[in-house]
Amino acid sequence: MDESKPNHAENWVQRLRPGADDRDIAISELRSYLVRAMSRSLTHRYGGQIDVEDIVQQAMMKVLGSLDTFRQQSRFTTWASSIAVRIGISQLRRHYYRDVSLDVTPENSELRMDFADSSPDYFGDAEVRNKVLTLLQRLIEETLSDRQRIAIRGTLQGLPVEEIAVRLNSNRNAVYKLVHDARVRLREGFESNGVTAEEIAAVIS
Amino acid sequence: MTILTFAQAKQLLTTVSKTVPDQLSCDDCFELMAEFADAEIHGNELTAALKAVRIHFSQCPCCAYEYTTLLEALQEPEAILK
Ligand SMILES: [Zn+2]
Repeated sequence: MDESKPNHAENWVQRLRPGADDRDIAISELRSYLVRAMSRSLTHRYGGQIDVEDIVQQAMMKVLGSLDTFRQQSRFTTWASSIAVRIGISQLRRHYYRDVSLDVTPENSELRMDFADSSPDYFGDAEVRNKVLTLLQRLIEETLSDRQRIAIRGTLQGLPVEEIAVRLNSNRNAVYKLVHDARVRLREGFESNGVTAEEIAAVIS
Repeated sequence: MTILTFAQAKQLLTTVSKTVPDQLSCDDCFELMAEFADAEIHGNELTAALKAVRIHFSQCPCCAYEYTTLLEALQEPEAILK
């Protein structure tokens, strides 16, 4: 790689280190790069209620504070952008979902099917549909924990795992794992009860 | 008590039928996201670690959405015009 190119990763890290000759210039270049990058990628998402300069400022702090963790496996600007995107999307989601009142609380863990839902768009075999939904209901009740039911319900109501985590006083990794493990259990439950992928596909389609 | 509509039940069945084992947490995925983006942009072959990132995206809409956002952030209009 051409070391004279400004995006050469080592070059960026050296220039941004405390005491480097042109550190101020490097900081200013990176900041402008991130402002352009975040302006085109964040401002039309989740209602766009975001202060790009503020997001970039937070990202700059994080980037400058973690130069030693940069593993040089990507372009430096890609790495810095990934940090800014995570901060920006997180803030946008928080703002967007803050006022959405859904019953994703630790107190309510019930989750039941509405078998009476007439579903006029369903033209498949009613017997297969009943078999699959009845089993789904039973698996939800018998194999999922309360927190798994709550988290699954949150995702079905459109909440990102990050927002479900906020409401359950948990963290994103833990909620993602809850949801994913729940799906694995349901999948295994269908398999062990002899419901085929074709039967599930028939209900979904 | 929460009642699931038939549409929601179908949504759940759809995600369940697409569920595959996922070795990464969202934080693990984030650690590799920049590397994955550059590999994909440059058409490089994915290492086993990066293949795991692709699997996580297929299971986790949150991380997949952040990745889409990152790809958009990395498109330099100036570079395209040149
Ligand atoms: Zn994730």
